[in-house]
Amino acid sequence: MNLYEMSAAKLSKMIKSKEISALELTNTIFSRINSVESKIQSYVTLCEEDAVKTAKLVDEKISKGEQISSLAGIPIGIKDNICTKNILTTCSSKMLHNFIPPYDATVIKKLKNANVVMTGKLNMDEFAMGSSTETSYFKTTKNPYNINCVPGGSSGGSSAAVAAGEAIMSLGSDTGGSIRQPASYCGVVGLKPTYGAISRYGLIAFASSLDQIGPITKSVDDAALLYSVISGQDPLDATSQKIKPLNWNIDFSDISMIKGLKIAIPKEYFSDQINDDVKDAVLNVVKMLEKNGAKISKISLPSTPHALSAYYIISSAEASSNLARYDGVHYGYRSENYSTLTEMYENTRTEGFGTEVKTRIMLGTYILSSGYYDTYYKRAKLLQNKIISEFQETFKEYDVILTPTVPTPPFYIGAEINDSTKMHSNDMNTVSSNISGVPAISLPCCLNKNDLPIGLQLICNHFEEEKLFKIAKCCELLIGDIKLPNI
Amino acid sequence: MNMDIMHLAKLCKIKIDDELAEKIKIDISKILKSVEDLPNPNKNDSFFNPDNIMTLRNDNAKGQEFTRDDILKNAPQIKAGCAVVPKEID
Repeated sequence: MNLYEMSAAKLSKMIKSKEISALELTNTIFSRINSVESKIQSYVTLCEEDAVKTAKLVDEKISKGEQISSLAGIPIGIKDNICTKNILTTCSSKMLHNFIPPYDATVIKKLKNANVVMTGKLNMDEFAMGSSTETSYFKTTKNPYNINCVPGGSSGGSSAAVAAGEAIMSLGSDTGGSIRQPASYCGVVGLKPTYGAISRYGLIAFASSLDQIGPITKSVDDAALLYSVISGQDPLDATSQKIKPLNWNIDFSDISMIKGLKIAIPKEYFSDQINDDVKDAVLNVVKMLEKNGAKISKISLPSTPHALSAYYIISSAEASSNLARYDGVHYGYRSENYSTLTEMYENTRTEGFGTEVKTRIMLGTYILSSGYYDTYYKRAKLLQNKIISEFQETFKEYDVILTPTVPTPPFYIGAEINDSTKMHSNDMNTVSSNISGVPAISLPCCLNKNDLPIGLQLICNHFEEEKLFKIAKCCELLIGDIKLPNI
Repeated sequence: MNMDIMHLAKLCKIKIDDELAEKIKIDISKILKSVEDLPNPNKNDSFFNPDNIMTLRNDNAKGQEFTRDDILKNAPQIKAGCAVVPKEID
């Protein structure tokens, strides 16, 4: 097995035991990037010089016998909406094509403190609005399992880079499914943590009440290790919460915990809109869990079919407010064609934003305008409460909810970009976790007959990440390895 | 749906041509139509969850390690430590 195909947990052990050096691993990743990036196109910016410096520092610490963190020397890619000091952070938008943040996001500070090696910034849908990376100003990332297919989005670059071996792990962000959907499409693990578990300071805002940063990795162990490094309360994010630190044991393999586990299967997540291959693959895992003693119950979460509508109302309302700051005055793109201040604003925003972003800004502005607020925004927020209470009732009785992550396997590039209804439906099984704030993880359960990945989603109650990781690891052990992409 | 899309664009400080206006209007209308199926709110329902109270920090600049000059490095045009915009008042 090549180093770029290994998990962070395994590579960390190899670095600590001096079987490999951090520099050797970093060089391997950049040589992998050199050989496949022209096909996959997952990076917007590469940071090879800084990466080599950090790797050398880790090797120096090891040679001096100093303690290093569980992820020291592990190469990580960062979604390009997370601020990195003195490194271009574009949100894959023309609007921020030249933005160099003067500060690090809290998660980046934590990664630097842990001596994690940052490989570069990863492509995404513009301002995280999209499900395929096709709305990126720069390029469309390709799915490593089939380069004619999308990698999913908006964290498409983050997922494709991990699947293609261009990074050992990555950070994404998830507002309505933007970590889990691309993780499912690229055959990797993606966690949307509980709202408030990870600081959003330095995450360029899309919909602040829904956005969360999370790990995208090759295994559940890696996701847990990365989560343990970046989670925790931050004074710079008032919505972050004080949580019990996760001390993940990578040797956890106790599948006997499945015995008696109460698993809820909500019928609304297995509707007619879910592809048969996807349903069969996920239900096959359910059978494995039942065979190992899990108690499976079919339940109903009746508000689920309305969740997508509520999501578009809430997220667009917040986006219209958050994106009002892009006016060409303090940072980012400024049009060259203006004579008055208003003209400067209008031309900057017209030339700087893509169509998807303009649509959501306009939708948000419309629903927040006088006379429409009660009709749209208030109804969506009330439905949010209903969804939260349905989850709370479910978790009084069950340990975990199990569903397909996405309705279909990855689709072809260009197939859905002009059909907004179809594109939005990608998030039908993921938005409820954002709306209710509960944690959810996607992990690969198999490849379909066309060798394309299918993912399953596990959802637990607020701040039950440890339980979620344990159940996910059990599933992973039952499922076994899935074939890596052949690029 | 009765929506003045050009006025809406103006409010958003975005210019759109007729073709894009039509596309955006269709996309927005689809989403708004889907909201019609949402349950009607009860008059007494509040969307604020009393169990979810945010603890606010003091409004100060503590913890920021960057200076005004650092921030202004990203500004398209600066003069004497200020961002420059077109003159509005003579």
